[in-house]
Amino acid sequence: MSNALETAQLGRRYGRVWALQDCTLALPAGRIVALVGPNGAGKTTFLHLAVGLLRPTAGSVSVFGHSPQREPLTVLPRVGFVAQDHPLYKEFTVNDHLTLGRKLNRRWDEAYAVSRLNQFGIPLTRAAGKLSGGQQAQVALALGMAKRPELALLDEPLASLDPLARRDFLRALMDVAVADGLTVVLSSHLITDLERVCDYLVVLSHSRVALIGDIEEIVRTHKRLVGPRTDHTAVAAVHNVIEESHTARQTTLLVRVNGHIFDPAWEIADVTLEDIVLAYMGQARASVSEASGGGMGGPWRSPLDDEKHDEERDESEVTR
Amino acid sequence: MIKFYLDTGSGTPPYLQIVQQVKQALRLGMLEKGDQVPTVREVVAQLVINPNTVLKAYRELEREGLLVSRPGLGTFVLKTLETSSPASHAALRRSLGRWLQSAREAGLDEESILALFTTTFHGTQPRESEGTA
Amino acid sequence: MIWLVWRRHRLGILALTLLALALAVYLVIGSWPARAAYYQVTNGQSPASCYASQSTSTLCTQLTAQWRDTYDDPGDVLGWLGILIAPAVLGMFLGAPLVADELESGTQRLAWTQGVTRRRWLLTLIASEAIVALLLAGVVQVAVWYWLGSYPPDGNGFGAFDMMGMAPLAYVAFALMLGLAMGALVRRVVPAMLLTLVGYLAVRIPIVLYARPHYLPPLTLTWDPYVTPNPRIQPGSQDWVVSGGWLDSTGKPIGRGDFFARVFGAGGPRPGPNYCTPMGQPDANIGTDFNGWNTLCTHNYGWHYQTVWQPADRFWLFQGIECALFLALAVALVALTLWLVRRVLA
Repeated sequence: MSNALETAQLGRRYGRVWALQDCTLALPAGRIVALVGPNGAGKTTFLHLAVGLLRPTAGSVSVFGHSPQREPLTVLPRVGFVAQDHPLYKEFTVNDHLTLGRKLNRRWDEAYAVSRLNQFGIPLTRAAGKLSGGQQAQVALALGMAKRPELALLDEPLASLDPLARRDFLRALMDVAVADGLTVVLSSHLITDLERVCDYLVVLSHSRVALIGDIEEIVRTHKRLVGPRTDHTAVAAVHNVIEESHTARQTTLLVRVNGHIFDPAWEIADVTLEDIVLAYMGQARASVSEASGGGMGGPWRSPLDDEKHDEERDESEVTR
Repeated sequence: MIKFYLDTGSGTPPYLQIVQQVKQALRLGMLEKGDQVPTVREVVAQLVINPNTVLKAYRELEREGLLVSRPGLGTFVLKTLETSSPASHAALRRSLGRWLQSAREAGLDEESILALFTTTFHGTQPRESEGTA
Repeated sequence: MIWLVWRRHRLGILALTLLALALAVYLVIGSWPARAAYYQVTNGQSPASCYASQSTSTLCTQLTAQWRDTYDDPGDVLGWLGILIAPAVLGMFLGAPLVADELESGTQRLAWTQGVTRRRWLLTLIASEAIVALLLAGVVQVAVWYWLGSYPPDGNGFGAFDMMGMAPLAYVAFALMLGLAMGALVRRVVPAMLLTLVGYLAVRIPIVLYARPHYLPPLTLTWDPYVTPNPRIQPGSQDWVVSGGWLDSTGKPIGRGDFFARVFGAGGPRPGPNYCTPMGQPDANIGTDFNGWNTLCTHNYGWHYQTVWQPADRFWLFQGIECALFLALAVALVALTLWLVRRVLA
């Protein structure tokens, strides 16, 4: 399968602070990708790098094999971008925005945009600043989709919307996704917002990629193990322990399983995607706080890959 | 035509929920041979879910020979699921009713009954999925 | 794309158009009395006919002096200021918001992710704005020509350099691009506007004072007014006298205070007891000709008068040089803005 977006050691620094670093990933075409992370994790930076609003400080990004910075005329027409808070010209009417899009794009399907806007009952002659937040989001989406892009990048599109507007927005987006088979990347700090509509996940935490993969696969391969408080190095040797917590008698592990768990001492339960995401964010935080001690592991490294690390963590209660 | 629903709280993957709901409809006779199932676009618009999820469910059902997709027309029921006759359904329902009666008489409350059923059900289920445990 | 500029800044453009029209009307109407008086015939003569015939009759001297006292030396401060500040106003209200407004409201994320490069986006907007600005400047310029035309003897010389010919249009181009660059630099509308005003004055004033006199080496003329009361070649009313002053016998400039002290002495500017000490008593030939006494005095000191000037026939060459200078600055500012927009803001 070809990739819509690829990055290699992508990094961006503002002054002395890295907003995104060492980001190497590939987003397969045709997927609906959730880009999840706490505020300040680098989601906006990542999307701005992908659409060419920002230049990488390190590494590279390519969209359908082209650099957004060096080949904007190849990349821009194929990417529909809706920035955070869906910026619009407040004093422009919806029609004015359509004119703007028509004048600034060679590929532009105005009838498509108009029919989308009509579908949501958005008055075309009203100034954008006088529309509700949900209507503004719909206008921004319609503008992005009128380019008939192959890749849609949406930065926190749901953040300012009420639940009904969220549902409408996602419905509109999914409708385009079905009709055009486009690749979508949606960012949010809440996975629960996106769980229904996304099938691929990228978790950013502390400016790094903490987890990436097919959502079903991620849910299927992560389990919660509950067992007596005993040495769990046998489990850790085979499976990646993402999170562990202990009481005097009981040990609870969140693991990414490699194959089967045969030890009958462990009671195995499914984990929700939200719990998995939170566990990876917590793990990233832990590894960042210990980064001063030496080299940091890659995104896939479990804390238990390192014996010393294991001993240090063993006694500590890890709570989320 | 049937309508799907999604239980996000359950651990069952959404695509499997759709597969199960189609099968259920086939079993209960709500879908018959030749009937059209909702298009991917309709399901997506109705449930606001990922289109790949619906595609995956329909592909799974096609693989099992239950549905067939006719490009440009839609997806249709190829065959119904008649695992058992309505008569045997009734007999099973009666014996389950008797079992529940005796469970209540033994002092089990609703939660205990469900727990007992679930563990026994999972314990005797033929291993087919790529299970992890 | 002029549509976009119009749609986005139409309130500003409308306000600027009103201002430009107001200034134009003010200049046109304001010049009517001077114009009427210039052609007003008194006893068969008018300042216009006197000027045309170069007549030195008493009546003509009187008429011309009268007209000059009332109207000469475009003394209309409001008109002057309006004309000189107009480019800065265009830069502030049209140039500065172009990029700054986008950055302040975050809409660059919308504009720069459409199907055109930022470079093209910026250049088309600049071109559109330049058209609007030059249209407005053109309206004012026509009025300025009319206004200056009511002061025929002086109105088309170096005295009106900043308002005539191509220079004002080059100032407009410069101010506009300055506003644009300041907007991209500070990314906020109001600070960018203030910086544009300050920057415009900070460039224009030093260039008038220190650069323009040296576009070509000025002509100098040194003479002894006692020997040559009217040198054959000397600056006319349309020439630009850059500087003038007395030189002592060794060629060193004499300060103003020094000049007065040594010519008039303690008695002030009247022939008195200490008047022009080396000369002794005034020459009887001079009589009461006050000016004559002074020139005799400076003659006796061995002083010469020196005037440094740019002749009127260099006017268009200087206009060309000044235009080239400001257009080059404008181009440099466009390059700076492009660099800011494409590299620094990315």
